[in-house]
Amino acid sequence: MTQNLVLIQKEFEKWTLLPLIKRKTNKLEDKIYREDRLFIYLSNKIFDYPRLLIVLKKRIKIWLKLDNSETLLALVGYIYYIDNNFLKAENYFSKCVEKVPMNLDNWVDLAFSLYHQGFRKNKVAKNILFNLGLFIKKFKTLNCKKCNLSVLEKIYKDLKSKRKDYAHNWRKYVTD
Amino acid sequence: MREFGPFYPKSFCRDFIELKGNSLQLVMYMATVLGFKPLMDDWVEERQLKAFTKLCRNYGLHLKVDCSFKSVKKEVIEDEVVGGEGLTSTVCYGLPKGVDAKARAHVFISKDKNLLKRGMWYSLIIRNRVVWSPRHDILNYGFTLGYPGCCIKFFRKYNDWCTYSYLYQAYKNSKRYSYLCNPLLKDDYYSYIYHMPCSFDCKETIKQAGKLRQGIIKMAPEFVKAMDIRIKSPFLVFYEKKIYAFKGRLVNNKELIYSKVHFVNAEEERNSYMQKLVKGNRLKLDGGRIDIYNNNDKVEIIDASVGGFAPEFPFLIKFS
Repeated sequence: MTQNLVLIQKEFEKWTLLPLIKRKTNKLEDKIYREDRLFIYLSNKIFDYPRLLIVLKKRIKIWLKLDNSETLLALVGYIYYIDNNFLKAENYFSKCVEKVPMNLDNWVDLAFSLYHQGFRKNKVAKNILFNLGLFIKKFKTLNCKKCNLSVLEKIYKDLKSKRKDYAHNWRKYVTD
Repeated sequence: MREFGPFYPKSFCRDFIELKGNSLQLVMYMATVLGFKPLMDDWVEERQLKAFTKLCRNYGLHLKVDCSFKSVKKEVIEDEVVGGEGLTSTVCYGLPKGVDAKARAHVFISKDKNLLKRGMWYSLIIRNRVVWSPRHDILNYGFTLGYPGCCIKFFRKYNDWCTYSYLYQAYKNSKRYSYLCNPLLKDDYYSYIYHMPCSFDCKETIKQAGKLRQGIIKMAPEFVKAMDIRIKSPFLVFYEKKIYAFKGRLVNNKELIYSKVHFVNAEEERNSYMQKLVKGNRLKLDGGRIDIYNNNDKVEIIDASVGGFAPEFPFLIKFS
């Protein structure tokens, strides 16, 4: 962990009274719903103290000059998401996916930032949510360096053509 | 006879009920059609989706299909689904739209096409894993649905089913009880509001519900008449899912004389006090204890359950 991230953690805690813990990787095989709880706590906090968002939006611009770890990128994504700036949130969650593609939390966060945007992105979001594990595997297999809309659409197209997507396989998982 | 059962308006939005087979979301739909509600959710059988889309279009509404729901009993999924233990009311598999004709499509409806983007994902089971909606979306969805800010904040504080009875908190927060703020029958067709108010005299709720009532009067006066009678009945409230409505009169806020009693919630398994209540024609409330009398003879006692999930804080109320 860089010294700058330690400074950011201290400052974040000072403002929010929440710890900024180094982001853990939630692997599919660990069968844990979510490793990262910060998004939940931060959402609660800002809902109760909305002015905190103004402060945090100013601070992240400085923090981003100091550090570019997955922990900070996810935090920035959360702050933009809570500000309903889904496009910027998408940008930072995509960077998280590029850094640690096997982290399920990164994919879920990215999917929800896409979910609230236009028709095309909403469709991609649902494709990710319905096929989380397959997206992770495929992203690694294709050795993608960038995570953008066209890559995500390509992954889904490939899954669909091989009939591996959820629309073709949902019966395996659904009990009548 | 269920006096609190479905209602069929003569014409306005009657096609909505005819298509869906129930009037559960009728007021909400009317509010959206009349432009008082910015956005609403609904669940429509996949096979009816085409007809439902057409119906919405005829009323000048836009519709967006999110995904499809398929209900499952919680016991079936408990040990197999990651995150399944946290599911409470809605336990459903999520499916892509259009794959199963027996599933129900989750749709967002609005007059404003742009607002459809603000619809919220509901927590669903997908491939042995629950995909939860982000907390931020849950906290703020009330604003998108047009609920008053004071009620959203109050809900955030007291929507804790293990500690509070939300309705009792709203009751304690009220100086008077306006029928426009009565949410007790919202699951049973009759209510001008579709949110939980912060008090039964919440100014913003009265304003919103009053406008909606005026709007419905013009289109379906018979519905307003039926609604007003029902929501002004005396009620005995234990918690949100255990409410009784009476034909009778309140002597004071601790005593009720009645001739008929109805359980107004949908889940009949929660109707545990009906057998005791029908034996009497008068009841007296003393904290968590209710004495039931037939004329002057005490015939039954109800001791409200206060422990565990959904504690019961009984109170008598009549809206005027």
